[in-house]
Formats: sequence, C-alpha cells, structure tokens
Amino acid sequence: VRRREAAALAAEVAVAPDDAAAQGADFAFFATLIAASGNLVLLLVANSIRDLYFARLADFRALVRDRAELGPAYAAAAAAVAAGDAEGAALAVRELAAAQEAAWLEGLA
Amino acid sequence: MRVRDWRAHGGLDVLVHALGGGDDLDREVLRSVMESRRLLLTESARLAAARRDESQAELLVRLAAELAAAADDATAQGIDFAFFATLIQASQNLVLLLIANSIRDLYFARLAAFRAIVRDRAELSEHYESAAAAIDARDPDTAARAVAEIARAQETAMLEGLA
Repeated sequence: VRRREAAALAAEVAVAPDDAAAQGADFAFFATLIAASGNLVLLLVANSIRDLYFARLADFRALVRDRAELGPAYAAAAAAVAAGDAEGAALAVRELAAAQEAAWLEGLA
Repeated sequence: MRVRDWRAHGGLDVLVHALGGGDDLDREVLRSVMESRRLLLTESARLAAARRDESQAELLVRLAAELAAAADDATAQGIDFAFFATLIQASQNLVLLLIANSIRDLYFARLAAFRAIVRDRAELSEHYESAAAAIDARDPDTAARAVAEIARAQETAMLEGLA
C-alpha cells in the first residue's frame, strides 16, 4: 500500500496547482517513505522535524520551488522503492533533497 | 484526557523508554537504533572530512590509535564514544549533533548492555585508523566507507548479542 501511496504522491507533487498543495504532497511523500523504512529512530526524528516544519510552513516554500523539474526524481524514487532497489531509491532521494537544500539556501541569500 | 500515539507524535526522548529497562533491550527498537546510528555516522563522516579543523583531525587519529590499545571493554567503549562524538562535532551539523545527544543519553544509561559494540575492536581498529586518516586527508568517500564498516560490524555484534 505504501509503495502505491509513494507513487501517487510523487505524481501529486509534480502537478500541484500551488506551493501550499505541493508542500503538503511533498511532506506526505517523505512521511510515507520514512514510514516504509520501518526504522523507529528515523520516524521519531521526522516527528520532531515535522513540528518545526509545520510551525514555519511559509519559510520552507522554496522546498517545492523547482517541483516541475524535480518531478522525475520523485517518480524515480517512488519507482525504485516499489522495485526494492535500495541504491536507486537513495540516489533519487539524494538528488531531490540536495536540490531542495540548494533552493532553500538560495532563498536565504 | 487524550492519549496520543508516541510513534506518530513522539520525539527521540521516548527511545529511552521504548528500548526497555535494565539490560533487557527490545530487539526491534535496538535494531532501529543501531541502523540509524550507522546511517547518521556514515553521513557525519562524509561531512567531517570536508569541515573538520586541525585539532579534530589530530584527535581522531589519536583516538583511533588508543582504541586499538585499549586495556578492557569499558575503556574501549569510552574511546569509541569519544571518537564518534568528535566525528559528529567535526561534521558541524547541528541536527546530527542533537540526535547524537539523545542517543548518548540512551547509551550511557545502559552502558553494560552495549558492550558488544567494542567486542571486535581488534579487527575493526584498521577501519578506525582509515576513517581518521581519510578525515585528516579530507577524503569524504573513504571516510564514509570506513565508518560504515565499523558501524555495520557494531550493529551485527549488538544484534548477535541479543539472539
């Protein structure tokens, strides 16, 4: 179920009509990924970061700034997770998170 | 009063309770702790290689040598902890540092239960030395690989200890 959820959410991010909807889909995508990891510590860390994130949602808008270009990376990550391809999934998510990090830091500059 | 699911709402502070009391560790929670430790230390090593200062690089080289010569398990655990605490500090990532603080509390509350972490230190000493040398040389990939080797072996030793 989670694998299908990740694929559906990946598609939602790419076609989200506005930043707020994209942020919701992006958050749900990564929450689903972390839940699927089955690692309790990562889940607890994500809980803590979630509180910070939702308290300052507007400050994190830049995370979804490049969602049109990043659509394939979300889809690739979801497909790799569905295929049980650990390296492919890690590579796609690394690319995604690095792009989001760069966008967010540019927003601060 | 509303009761909330700690898995959905808890922070790292709940780990101390989830792991279980005394030396009787919960296997599933321990698996998560050791697995996430490996992931976090591996990325910390990568960052540390890029961001360490001279004193941190020197300290890591010294601690790696001391670990190989540790007289007993308790001494080795102290050195192992200092090695990874230095590595995380050198990563200069605040979130990794805060996560490490939480795991440190859990670790020191059950030090004897984590003895297996240093069980294979004789075989692992070359990886500590390799990690320290790679951080000194600002080589992120080699540092990450060496730390992943150490952390994976420690994870295996801990889980075998519970079997």
